[in-house]
Amino acid sequence: MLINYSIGTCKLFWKRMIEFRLKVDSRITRGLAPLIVKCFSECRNRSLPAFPYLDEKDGDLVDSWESSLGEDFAQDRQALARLLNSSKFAHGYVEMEENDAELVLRSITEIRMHVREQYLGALTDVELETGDVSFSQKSSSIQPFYLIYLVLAEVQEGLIQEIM
Amino acid sequence: MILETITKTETQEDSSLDIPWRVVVLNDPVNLMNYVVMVFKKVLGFNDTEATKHMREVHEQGRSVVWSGDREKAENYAYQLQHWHLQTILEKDD
Repeated sequence: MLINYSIGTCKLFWKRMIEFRLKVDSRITRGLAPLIVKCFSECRNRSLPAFPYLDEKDGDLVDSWESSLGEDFAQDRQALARLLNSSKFAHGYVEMEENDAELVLRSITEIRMHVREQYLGALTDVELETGDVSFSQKSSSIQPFYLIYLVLAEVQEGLIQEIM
Repeated sequence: MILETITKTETQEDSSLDIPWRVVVLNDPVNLMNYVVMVFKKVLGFNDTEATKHMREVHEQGRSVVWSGDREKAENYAYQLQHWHLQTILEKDD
């Protein structure tokens, strides 16, 4: 509970915290944490989604749309940075203020998309959707990225349960 | 003559605003099904049944028209859906 002493009044308000433990072994999250941070940093250079009007010629409109989305994505990443910087996360705990949950959800989606595009090209969409991946036939270099993909999905599942 | 041209252009622009627009969400292999359902509920105000129906449509048919109406509102929905990283386009509802 935070106490906010604003001008002349004393307001008490609760900031609800979200906390849960990931099912995955904490040794795995500890091992993956630096790689998740690396992927997170790379997301800053990811291209923005295509403008929704397929035949739009108004450059100013496109620029303003993209710049606004870029700012919103940056704000989402700040919330995720707070989670990744917490020492608990590497030990398999997810803890954040409820206000950050939606921002973190979106930012994790961005990382998962980045990981899929950059590191999991050897896997088919069906393999990713069903989770039926045979690593013996795949390059071992994609294994940690596939694990990141799964661990982040688990964080999203947990958050969705908490906020819905 | 110039005034006539301006009026004509304005009329054309106005009529393009009047045409209904469709907000279309396209499939992607990354987003979790319950994530998509949650986004539809939050952004478009769908109930569980509607949100699940549109999510399945996206998943099985590759796309779903999630809203149709005036351009400004369609743009607003498209922006929010893109903010949630759902692949979204706007189409004229001819």
